[in-house]
Amino acid sequence: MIRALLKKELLSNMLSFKFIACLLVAILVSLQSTALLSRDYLDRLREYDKGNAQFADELTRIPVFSCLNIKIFKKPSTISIFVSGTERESGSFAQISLANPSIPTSLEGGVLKNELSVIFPKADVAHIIIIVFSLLAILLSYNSVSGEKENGTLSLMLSHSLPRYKILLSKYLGALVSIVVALALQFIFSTLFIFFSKDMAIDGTFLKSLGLIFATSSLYLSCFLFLGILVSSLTKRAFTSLLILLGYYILFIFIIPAALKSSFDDRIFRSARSYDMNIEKLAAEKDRDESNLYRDIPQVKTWSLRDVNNMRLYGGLIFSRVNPREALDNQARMTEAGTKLERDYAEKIYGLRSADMRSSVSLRQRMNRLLALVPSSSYLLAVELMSDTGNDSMTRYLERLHIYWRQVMSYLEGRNAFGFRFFFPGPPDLTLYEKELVAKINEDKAGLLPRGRMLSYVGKYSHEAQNYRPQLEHLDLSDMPAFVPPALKAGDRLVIALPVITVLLGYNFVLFMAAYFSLQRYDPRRDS
Amino acid sequence: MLAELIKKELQEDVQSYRVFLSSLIVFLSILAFSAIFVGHYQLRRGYHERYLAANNRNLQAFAASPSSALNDVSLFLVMRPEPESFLSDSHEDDLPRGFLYSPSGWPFRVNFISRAAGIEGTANDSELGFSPDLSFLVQVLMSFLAVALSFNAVTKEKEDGTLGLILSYSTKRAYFILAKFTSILCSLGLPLALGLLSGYIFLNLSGVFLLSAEALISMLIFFLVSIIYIAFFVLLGIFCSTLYQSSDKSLVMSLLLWILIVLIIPRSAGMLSGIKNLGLPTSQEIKQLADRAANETAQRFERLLPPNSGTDIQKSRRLELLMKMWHEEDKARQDVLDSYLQKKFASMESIKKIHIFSPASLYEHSASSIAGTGLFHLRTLWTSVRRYNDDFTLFMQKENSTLEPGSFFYLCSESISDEPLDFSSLPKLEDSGIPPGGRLRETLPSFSILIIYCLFLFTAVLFRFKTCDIR
Repeated sequence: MIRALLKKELLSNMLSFKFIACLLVAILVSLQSTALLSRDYLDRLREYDKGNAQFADELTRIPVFSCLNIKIFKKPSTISIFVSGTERESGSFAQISLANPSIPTSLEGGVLKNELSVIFPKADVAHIIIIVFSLLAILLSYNSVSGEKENGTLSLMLSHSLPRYKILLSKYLGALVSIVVALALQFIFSTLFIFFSKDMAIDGTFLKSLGLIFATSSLYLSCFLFLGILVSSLTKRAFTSLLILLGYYILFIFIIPAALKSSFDDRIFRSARSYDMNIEKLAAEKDRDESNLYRDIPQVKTWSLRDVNNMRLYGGLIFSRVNPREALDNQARMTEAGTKLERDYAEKIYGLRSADMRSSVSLRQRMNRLLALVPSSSYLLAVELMSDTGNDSMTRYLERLHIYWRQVMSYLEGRNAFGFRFFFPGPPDLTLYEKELVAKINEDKAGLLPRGRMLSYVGKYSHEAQNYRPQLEHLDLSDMPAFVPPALKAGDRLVIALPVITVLLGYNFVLFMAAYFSLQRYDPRRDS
Repeated sequence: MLAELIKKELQEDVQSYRVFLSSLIVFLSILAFSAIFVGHYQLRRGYHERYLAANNRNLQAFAASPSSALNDVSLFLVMRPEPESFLSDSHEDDLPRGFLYSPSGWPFRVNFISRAAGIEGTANDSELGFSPDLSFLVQVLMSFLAVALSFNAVTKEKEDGTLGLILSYSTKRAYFILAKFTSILCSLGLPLALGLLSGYIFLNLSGVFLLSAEALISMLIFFLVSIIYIAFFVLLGIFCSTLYQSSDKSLVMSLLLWILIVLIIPRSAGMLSGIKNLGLPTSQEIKQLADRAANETAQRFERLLPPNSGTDIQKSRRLELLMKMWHEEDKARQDVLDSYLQKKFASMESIKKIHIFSPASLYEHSASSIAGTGLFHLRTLWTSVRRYNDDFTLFMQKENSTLEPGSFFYLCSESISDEPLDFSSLPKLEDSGIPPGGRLRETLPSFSILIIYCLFLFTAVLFRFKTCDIR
């Protein structure tokens, strides 16, 4: 009997105008979104490959008088075509600079290349499922019971010796199967699009994540079906049930998440404010320590050749070789002490920033707990966790970057090349020309001017010395430790997302029970 | 006859359950959003005042010893949070805060200030990306309600069989449509007006709004634009209901159109923006490009520079050349930055062309223009900081220059004396908002397209309804 009922439901659902119209819209829109996002993904991938190759090439020939900028590119994941999460916005690479050592706490580049583009909201497949498929679920279920009430067929059906739960189940399964078919069609079309587009590779992880996303989407939509059946069994008229459901749709998908998010944004903003204050204090402390540090280093009476304009050349800093040995030694002592200071402060600032991040993460978790009351938000959270593209994955990535920063620092320490020390390992002996130039400058006492802690040379030969470009030697740092991004297997992702999925399951169960009881209590005599 | 029809429709609507419910939702949401807004606004205001205080501190230090403090002066020109952002915020929170102005020209004369530090890492929330302001409420909620109230305007009469009866009287068909349209629009417009009014009073009581004529005028225009926007969706619902025989089909069709217009098209524009931006370099790269341009200019001049030692005439000649060099260097660096900034604005403008296809985007644009917020605000700031630069340099040249009158002047620590200046006479840098005239001018194009859409749809409804055969 249930099979016959199911067949009837399926046929009436799938042949209905609303089903076909929604399906067509969903497929068209998701194809458009897939086309746009896969182009975007390919662009990001190209940028990633290009950047990585460039940096690997740079590592083999680093001029000694230069400052190393380590670039770590984040590989875009294929699944971000379906669930883009924060991946497009959060940037594409991190930078570890040795001149100004700071531990990266956010990425650069990405969509944020244009700071103005934040004003546009996005639509990936996950959002299309929330917007279009939720509506389809409502349209399929709003008149499932109340429609039969209006037609008078419900009493007829109940007069057969048919248990009510079977009616409920057939209604639910009929709607579920048709919506899952529509969902599958949408996924298949999008995947086929990716499969047949150039340069795109589909691997096992992608398919596994896709499967997980598909299952979660069905779970989420089944919530809506139960809700629809519940409301339609509670109301007498199909129209009333539709109005209530549409009200729920607009309130719980658009208005409440936006309002909740905005009120939490304020609190995140407030917590960031205390960070602002602390960072100012820390900067003042650093300035004081720095001046103390340089005061303690014994001063050597000598001159050096420095020019502000010249410092900017070579895209960074250059310390000309036309300097007396003592000045270089002095500089080396200062950098060694300064380096330790810089590293300590980088760690301190990172500590502050990560405390700030932790507080905002805990605020966000509280927000997510509240948002979990809204199925659409918990669904979005679940798919982001499973596709590894959301905020959590970003936090993991940044934590790994911190570990890598320490690795790189100790590696460079081992090569005696941290920070400004990069300027020193030149050819051990001065060339003949350099020796002559230094001797000439030493004689020209008129050009030595006191500036800062040392005498600065701005005499007759300064133009010649500043225009002198020494033969640069190159270092090979290709054995530098490589960054290993955190990689989660599909199973791990599932485990992380389990609490949120449990919430969705709980919703399903509660709504099912509610629908069951309301149908059980339904008395056809009261209607007539 | 028309009056009677409207009266009948209005009476029916006012007594109906759904109109009551939708008015309640609109009214309560406006109140809730104004409560959220007050806290948010005060927070932003506090931030703004911190920036202003820092500006004052910097300028005072500069006035005390202009020449030696010049290199440390940097002034913040940040977007002043407007009370009108209650009407439309247009993501002003997510945009860069404004511009950083350094009179000494190093490293940049004018540059972006990014979002408040500390929030950067957490800014990219994964939610639906709306900022809750009134324009969002109208754009999503009210347009939805308009569709929900009008989708069965004609089909219900068809289903009940009353349509034939009504048309058998000597009523013009246009009157019938007009009555339906007016009554639905009234039942949505009234709660909006009431909500706006009570929101306005609420804000005034919590000390956000000043009772200015300007604020009232922008609110009135906002109301007008919103009504036109809602009218579009009412017409859309009626149009769908003239197309089909059953309410079901009309509902599905109008909801799908609603999704397309309100949710999908504006979002696709967002994704397009991401792709269009890929050609742009990162801010780091832009800085490098600018540095390279400046260095090339400097190298051209370096050859011409006479040695530092020598007679006084040689020294002053050297300074003049140096100043010219710095000026050119500065200009080259700033030009690179400016050209990319223009490109960023232009790429946003080009996306707006896609927006013409969606009345929702047109509405969002006109609402944000009336409120004077968002990109429009930022672009206006850009011009005002440019003007300030000219004012400031001219002022220093007049008041504090050590150079001979008539010679080339470049603002640097060598060209001005260290004598204290009168702080009150220094030109100040502050965002004064956008005057109502400018806002109106920015609004007009998108608003008029919106009106054209409405008129077009109205004609389509009339035509369709006149030619349809009720049998």
